[in-house]
Formats: sequence, C-alpha cells, structure tokens
Amino acid sequence: MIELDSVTKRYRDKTSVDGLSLTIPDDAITILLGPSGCGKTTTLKMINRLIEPTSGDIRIDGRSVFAMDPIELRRSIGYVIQEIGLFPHYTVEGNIGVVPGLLGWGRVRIRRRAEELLELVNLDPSVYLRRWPRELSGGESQRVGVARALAADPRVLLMDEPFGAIDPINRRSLQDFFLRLQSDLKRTVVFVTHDIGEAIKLGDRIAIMRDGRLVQIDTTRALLEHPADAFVEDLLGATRSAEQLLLYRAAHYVDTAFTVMTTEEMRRSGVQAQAPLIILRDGDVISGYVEKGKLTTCEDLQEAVCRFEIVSGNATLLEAVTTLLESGRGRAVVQDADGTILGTLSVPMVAEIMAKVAR
Amino acid sequence: MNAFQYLGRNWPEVSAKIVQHLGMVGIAVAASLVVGLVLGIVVSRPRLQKVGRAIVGVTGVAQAIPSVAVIALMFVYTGIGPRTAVIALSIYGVVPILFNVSSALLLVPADMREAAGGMGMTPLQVLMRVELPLASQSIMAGLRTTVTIDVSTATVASVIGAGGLGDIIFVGLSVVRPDMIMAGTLLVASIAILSDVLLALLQKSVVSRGLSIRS
Ligand SMILES: Nc1ncnc2c1ncn2[C@@H]1O[C@H](COP(=O)(O)OP(=O)(O)OP(=O)(O)O)[C@@H](O)[C@H]1O
Ligand SMILES: [Mg+2]
Repeated sequence: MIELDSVTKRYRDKTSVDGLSLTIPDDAITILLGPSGCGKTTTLKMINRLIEPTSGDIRIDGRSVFAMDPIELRRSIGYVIQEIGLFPHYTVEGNIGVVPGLLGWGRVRIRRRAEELLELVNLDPSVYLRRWPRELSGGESQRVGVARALAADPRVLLMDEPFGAIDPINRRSLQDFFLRLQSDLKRTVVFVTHDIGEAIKLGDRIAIMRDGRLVQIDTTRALLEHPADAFVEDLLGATRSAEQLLLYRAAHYVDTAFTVMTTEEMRRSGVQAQAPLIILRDGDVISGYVEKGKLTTCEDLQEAVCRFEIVSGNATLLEAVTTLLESGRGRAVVQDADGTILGTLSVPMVAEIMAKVAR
Repeated sequence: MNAFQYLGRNWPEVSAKIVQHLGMVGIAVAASLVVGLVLGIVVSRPRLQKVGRAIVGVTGVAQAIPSVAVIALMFVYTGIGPRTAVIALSIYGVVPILFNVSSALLLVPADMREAAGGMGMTPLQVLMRVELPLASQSIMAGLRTTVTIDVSTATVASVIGAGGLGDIIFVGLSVVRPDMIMAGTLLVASIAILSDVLLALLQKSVVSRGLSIRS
C-alpha cells in the first residue's frame, strides 16, 4: 500500500501538487486522471523521489520513502516514463538488464530474465533480444519499456502515460495485453493517463486530480453513479451521447445467451443447442460463432460460421463499437483477461443499451 | 635525390624526428583530452548549464583562431623549445574536444537522464552508462579533429625550436632541397592519415552500434 499524506510540491511561482492525500491499494491498478498540468507526473515522481515534495509524507507499506536511500528505493520500483526512454545505445537485452545489472545480477541470470520477460510481453526473444531500440516499432518499444520496468520483479510499478504516443489500434491491444499481464502478476500499479477511456478500461480505482488536488477517488462505477462535483461529472459524463459509450465497460453489458461448443460438437448436435448463439472454441482457439437458426437452413456448416472480433471485458463500449465498425463484423466476443468468454456484443445491442442509459 | 632516397639515407635522424613529433603530439593530445573531458563534463551538469552553453559558444568561435597564433603567443611567455610547443598544442587542442564534449552532453535528452535516474542509477552511473555513451560519437569526432590539428601544427612548432618533423621541412626550405621538403611533408601526412584511421577504428569499437541506426 502506498500512502500519500498531505503532499505538497511548490515551485517558486506555482504549486503543482497541493495537499494531496491518497491511498493506493496493493495488487491493483490505480489511475491518476486529470487534465494536462494538473500534477500527475509530479505526483508519480515524488513516489520514487525523483522530485522531493515541499511538505507531506509518502509511505510504502508503512515506511516513509524519506527514510529510505533514494537510489535503493528507485531500484525497487518499476518506472515507465512518459517518453518510454529506452536507451538507444543498449540492445533490448541491455535495456531490460539495467536494473538487474545495478543490483549486481550475473550475466546469465540477466539473459534468462530478459528472455522470460520478452516472452511475457509477447516478443520472441530469439528475434528481439539482440535488437536495438531504434529497430523497434512504437508498440514494440512500449512493450520493452514495460518489460524493463518489470525486470527486477518490483512490487510497485509507476507508469506515466506508457501507451501515450501510439495509434489507437495498437494502443487498445497494448491495454489488453497489460490487463492480461496484471491479472497474472498482480502488481501495485500507479498509472497516469489523461485518456478517460484508458482510465475506465484499466483502472481498478480512479483518482481524479485537478490543479494539484485530489477531487475524488473511487471505482469507475462509483464515480459514474456519484460524481463528487460538476468537474468530475464533466470529465466523465461527456454529455454528447456517442462519447458516453466511453464510460461503460463491455463486460457489464454483454449478451450472455450463448453456448460454447467445439466444431465437432456443433456438427453433431448444434441444432439441439439451448442458446440462440453457438461460439466455436477448439482448445484455446475461438474460430467463430454460429446462429442456431442458420444451422437448419445451411447445407454446408462452414458457411454458417461467422467471423468475429475479440474485445476485452474491460474495454469500453466505445472501443467495442469502434472495433466492430472498423472490422465490418457483426459481433464481438467479449473475453476476460484470463480467457473466459463473457458474452457477445453487436452494434444494435449497444445502441439499445445507450437508449436505455439515456432514459 | 628524391624524397625516398633522402629518407633511406638519413633514417636514423629522421626516425628520431618522428619520435619527437609523435611525443609532442601524444602528450598534447592526452592533456587536451583530459582537460576537455573534465571541463566538458563539469559545465554540462544541470546547475552549470548556462556556463556550458557559453562555453559551447566561445569554443565554437575559438576554433577559428589560427594555431600558429597560439604557438607565437606561447613563445612570448615560455620561450623556445618543445615545452612551449606542447603547452601551446595542449591549449589549442582543448578547444575542439571541449566544444564537442560539452555540446554533445548538453544535447543528451532530459528523458534519458530521467529514465536512468528513475531506475536507480547514481549520478556517476548516469554519466558513465548513459550520458558519455550517448555523446561518444561526438567526443570521438572532437578527438580526431584535435589529433589532426596537432599533427600538422607540431610541424610549424619547429620554428620555435621544438624539433619534430618540421625541422626537415624548414631546413629543406632554407637550403632549397625539394627532396627534404617532400620527405617531411610525406611523413607528416602519413602520420595524420594513419592516426585518423586508427581513431576511426577506435571510434567504431567505442560507439554503440545502436546509435548509428537511423530511425
Ligand atoms: N520544475 C518545475 N518548475 C516549475 N513548474 C513546474 C516544474 N515542473 C512542473 N511544473 C508545473 O507543475 C504543473 C504540474 O506538472 P505535471 O508535469 O505534474 O503535469 P501533468 O499532470 O503530468 O501534465 P501532463 O498530462 O501534461 O503530462 C504544471 O503546471 C507544470 O508547469
Ligand atoms: Mg505528465
């Protein structure tokens, strides 16, 4: 648990963070959300003492960070800066190995750790270990940045808009990837963003900041249901209808009338399925879905199988709709970070949900 | 006689001049490198960056001063002999190195320093593992400039009695022996080219390959 206790950072002509008190729970993602210049980066950097506060205390698991050696403190915390900041003169392996190297690990152990982490962030070690940062795409760099922050297995991760400078599609898949990672690793993450969609998708709790102060901290649902003031309402409740889709997680609105079958089962007994929709899953691979009604009219079963998009359960409805519209597919299968199928979504369904919410 | 015959017949004296020449250049380059690196590192520290930018400006312009002028000026203070030449070369040779070191270190992006510090590097580790490697290309370029300048300027230092390969050229000039002038020139040029080739090889091994990739 990280506790910020009336932390203030004052510069000569400006108070960047103003009496901020905040409790960040373990093993969850806490988002710092707020407009540009509201003090998010400053807050993050005070936790690892890159910036010393003017007053106030910060404790990690009850110990004041000011009682710790700042160098050791930083080595024990994973940090992803706003610009990623991979070192261009080190290979990917060298970058991942920075903190382990500072901690005195041997070469072999660092190599093994780097391989392990690249696997974890879905980059083939045999390809990427020897690559130079300038040979990486934006998305690959971000993954390596996350791997580097995880290198020495820190309990606490500080991430400053780690997926900021990247196109929306890659951004979405990085967010999905990060959620899967977190469901395995369960780290204490402080994640800065000014993207509301990202906050709602990733955040277990969202701390909303304004002018260096904490306005409100709560779960997404609680924030939506009981916004503390007009600022929060404005920030979250972008009043135009389409933007509202940003505020709802796909998982909460899926159509659960489906059954899962293997292709073989569907061939044999699909017609007798209870649900109107059959999702075909062979092992880990979800190959498509079939509307039960079509099974009787189609001669070739393969023809009845529809392709679909996969959307993370944490994704916002806006992301689900965008994905569907971009792909031109009829339905999205909504899947949990651990692979469980939660249900399906289609554009007409979302329209209906919005109509209900509007009322 | 042509230049090669001259070299063949006078090899013992010539080789002594080569050693003198290399000695002057070697000492001067080493002194310039140490002073340039240390000063460049000091003025690029966050608190001194204003000084650093001023230094970059001054050294940028100072490179336009002819090297002969520095030798002549030093002669006024410390008289004739190789000592004066080495001091003059050391001072003159600091300029390109200091310029390149300080400008390259000032150009290291703030996010690199911040990432390094945020990962728990001490300030010395940030310097050694991040800042200097990132500036290495430019530092090596400054060193090569200084070496080339010193090799050629040491020749001129012969006029203040410093010895070296300039002696062969200036003697040849006074007794009108084109073969001697040619021989001296060939030697100086060869040393300049050879040392630059060696430094280029050194540069390749010192500068990370990751930095030469354009993205
Ligand atoms: N060294 C400094 N001196 C004076 N003011 C500063 C300094 N660093 C930051 N500030 C000010 O403090 C405020 C908060 O900055 P901070 O970087 O924390 O904002 P942020 O919430 O991270 O914004 P963004 O979303 O744009 O990254 C800003 O108004 C900034 O101008
Ligand atoms: Mg910021």
